[in-house]
Amino acid sequence: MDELYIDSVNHRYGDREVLSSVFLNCRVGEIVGLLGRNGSGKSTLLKIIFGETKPRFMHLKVDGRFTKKAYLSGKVAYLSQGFFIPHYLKIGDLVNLYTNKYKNDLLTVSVIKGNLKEEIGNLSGGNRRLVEALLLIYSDAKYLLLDEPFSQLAPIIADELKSHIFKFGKEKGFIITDHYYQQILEISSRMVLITNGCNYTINSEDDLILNGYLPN
Amino acid sequence: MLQKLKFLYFRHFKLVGALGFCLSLYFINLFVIKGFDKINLYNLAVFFKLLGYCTTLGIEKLFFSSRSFYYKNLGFSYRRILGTLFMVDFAIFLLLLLTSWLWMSFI
Repeated sequence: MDELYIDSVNHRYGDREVLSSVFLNCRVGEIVGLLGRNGSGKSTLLKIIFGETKPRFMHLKVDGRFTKKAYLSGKVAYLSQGFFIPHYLKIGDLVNLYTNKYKNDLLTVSVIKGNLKEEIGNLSGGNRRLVEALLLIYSDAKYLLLDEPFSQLAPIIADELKSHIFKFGKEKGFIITDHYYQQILEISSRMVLITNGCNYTINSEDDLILNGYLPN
Repeated sequence: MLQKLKFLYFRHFKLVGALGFCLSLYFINLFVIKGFDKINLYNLAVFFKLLGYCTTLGIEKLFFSSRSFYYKNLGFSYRRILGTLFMVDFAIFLLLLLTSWLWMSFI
């Protein structure tokens, strides 16, 4: 079964319960939008799925197999909020390191093609963010957890990133979180809101108002 | 997978590898000079090797924690990357020790 599945997630920061019995799943071919206010636990949930944060309790399956750290399966990649690739590495080396099956496709992308010999730290903030996202999207990972991928991006670069996500929309599963909720509404096939430590299915913008995410 | 590990070690752990190898050579030199029957020298060598491993781990966690996602997105944990590095370093030390002991015993 091609599915990333997590349920019964329970996590606390000190006395504050951030996530309580949260459930989330993502099938290949789905783009799941994850929304929530600051501090609602969106990033924490993605880090728990990836294996970076250890929750009090969870039940995680990747393609039907139980696991505690999804990254060890090699099927899950996580785009963190900050830059995660050391600044002194060359883009050409990174393409060889991260990609395999889709390497030739990635080499046709202009921001990659034009900067192969450039160190990633020499790119502008927006382009660096785009390159990091592209390296993960074009990697062999089947499920991508993108934590605020559109922050720091100019609208034209955000549109480019969206086109790459759409390109792999049928072959991979995406869980995307961002505060630019309109971008999420636009690209996701399904939406989930995390509020008060629980998750709610969102069908329209009205549901976001009803659940207190958007002002009335 | 092996290519990825090779890249990671050569790009990020060259200095650690070189320092570990120099420490091994230093202790082998001491063994050759003082003899291979000194138990305290073995303890001292293991102590300094462990100290080196702990320092490497500490530096990596304190100053390079942002690399964590970089490794993990490649499918590697710190345990695997550093564990393999330390294991290979200690194996090289043991191999050098054995070779030098054989060399001194028979030649």
